[in-house]
Amino acid sequence: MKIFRLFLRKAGRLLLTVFIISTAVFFALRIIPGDPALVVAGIDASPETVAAIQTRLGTDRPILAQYEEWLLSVLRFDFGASLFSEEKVSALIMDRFPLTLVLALLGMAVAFLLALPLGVLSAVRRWSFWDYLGMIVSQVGMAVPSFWLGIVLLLMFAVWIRIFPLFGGEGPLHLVLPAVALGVNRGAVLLRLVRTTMIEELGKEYIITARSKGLPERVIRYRHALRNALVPVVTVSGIQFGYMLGGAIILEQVFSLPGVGRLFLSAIYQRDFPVVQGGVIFIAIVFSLINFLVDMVYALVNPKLQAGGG
Amino acid sequence: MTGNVLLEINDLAVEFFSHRRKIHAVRGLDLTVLPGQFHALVGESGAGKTVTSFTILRLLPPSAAVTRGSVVFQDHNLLTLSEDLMRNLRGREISMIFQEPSKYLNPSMKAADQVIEGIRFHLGYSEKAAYQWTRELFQRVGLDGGRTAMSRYPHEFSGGMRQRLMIAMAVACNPSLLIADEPTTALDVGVQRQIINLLQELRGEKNMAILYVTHDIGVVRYAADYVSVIYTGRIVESSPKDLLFANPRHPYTRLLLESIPSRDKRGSRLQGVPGSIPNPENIPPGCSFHPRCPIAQPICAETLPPMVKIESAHRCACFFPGKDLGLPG
Repeated sequence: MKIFRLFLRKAGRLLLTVFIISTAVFFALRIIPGDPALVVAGIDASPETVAAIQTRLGTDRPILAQYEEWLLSVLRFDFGASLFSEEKVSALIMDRFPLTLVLALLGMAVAFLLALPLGVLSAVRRWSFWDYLGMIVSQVGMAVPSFWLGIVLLLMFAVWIRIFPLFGGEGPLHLVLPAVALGVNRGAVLLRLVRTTMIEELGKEYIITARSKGLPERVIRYRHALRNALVPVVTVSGIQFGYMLGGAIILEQVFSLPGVGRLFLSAIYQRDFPVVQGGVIFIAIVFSLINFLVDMVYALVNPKLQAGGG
Repeated sequence: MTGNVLLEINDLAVEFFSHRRKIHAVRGLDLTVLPGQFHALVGESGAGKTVTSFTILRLLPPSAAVTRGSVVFQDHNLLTLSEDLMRNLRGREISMIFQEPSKYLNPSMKAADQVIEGIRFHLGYSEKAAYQWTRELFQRVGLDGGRTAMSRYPHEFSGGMRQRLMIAMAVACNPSLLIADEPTTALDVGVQRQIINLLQELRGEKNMAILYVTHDIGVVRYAADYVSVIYTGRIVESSPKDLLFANPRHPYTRLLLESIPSRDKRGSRLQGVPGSIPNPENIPPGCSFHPRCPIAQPICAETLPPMVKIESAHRCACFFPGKDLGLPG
């Protein structure tokens, strides 16, 4: 029951966040100089043409009416059409988002594959070879920006040793290098966290109880210590996943992948306002949704929250 | 001799190393526990009680080392046993309950699961059989054996219920020795009695010996069969309870017994033991109690007094056992 109340509260916060961001985006685009109609029509256009475009875009109407319409359009997930291709913005986004999402998920998988085994090993065999390896990997991984790692990986595994394709495309092979480039950076952060929380949990008294029950070390490590160590890791990896989406947008440029990142970037260059607006709102919604999901997962793995539910 | 003895500790010494300093936690400790016995190990905090109980189960942290002695349990020297064999004994033949059950229970594991895992591992029960046995154990220790109650988490339990859960875990495989490390210290007085009564009942039902580590003389008087008094890592007096309470010989024991208020002495001042336990890095030579002892003589600071027999199983390590302490009242 408490978990249901928590769900309602977090869902309310999600809606509030989206509302505030929608409002901010609406007024930000009205405050910055430059009439979108002029961008579409071109500087040499006649006042009549500009007025006609203003009517089409709705920018000639009172600001409150525009605001109302904008909020309704956010609710309907309908941000109008691109000023140039005239395709619907929501369709443009939904067309490209799966690729970005898959890339971010793969990056997350790489991060976990790196962080979990090496983090646990570092914690269990402290000051061993594995611990030092883990420290080096995490130091280097945190220091190297993912776009640079992406370029180096391309150079090594697509130019010198031609295992992976160099440009674009949709096949799974195209996603390997960008996922690694994304995952290493975030995995480095998670690796430190897994090591720290695992060491902390292994030093707690309930581990002594587990030993006094005669359980094998493997069970003590994974069933007892790791499970508790993962509680903070889940929270942080949720935030990491938000960054991962941001990173995916950058890596789409490096690897010429047709995801939402490329869509938004070209919209910004072209001043394609509906796409930019829709893009910002979309990213905000995805971010809030991830936070919401993390909170719910956190409540599920942390029994104290389930019951206390405060 | 071995036929009648469950646990025999001989000349045990345990040292801790921290920051290049050596701490003598246990210094030549002898202890014998008989099957089914309620054996109380009594002393102030810092006397080496917990270190001794952790040594029996080989749960000492890496900074500790056993430097001397033997711990023989049912003909196995636990200090030289392989890790695999030791693991088979832990939880099955020797189990342990701790002072603060809230810290010693896994916070993210359901109550029943913490009991079930030991049963499955040691006794090889099926999931269903282990669950059934756990339900019986829950009811036996006074916990709700309903499905929802069993799938609660430790933080949803009260302190007393948590200790009951620890007890259910500890007795699940019918061990022959239960080590109880101050199990009631963190509990309310009323709950303390209930827990001790529960341990007494289980001891009778399962013919299980209890090594009860405590600083509470009241608990000892209430429950123990046999008492060993520990001071700076050595036993200074050991005896069947009745003999000890009727005729305490070691000055430390006598001061400890003075420290509990009793009905016939109501109104007289609570004595306690003057001074405080010595720094374990720098333990006084000879009898380590001599700086606090009201009847100390020069010999006490030079020579370690051996354990000598007072009568039957009553033994004491003092050069002047039973000499008048010159206490008022």
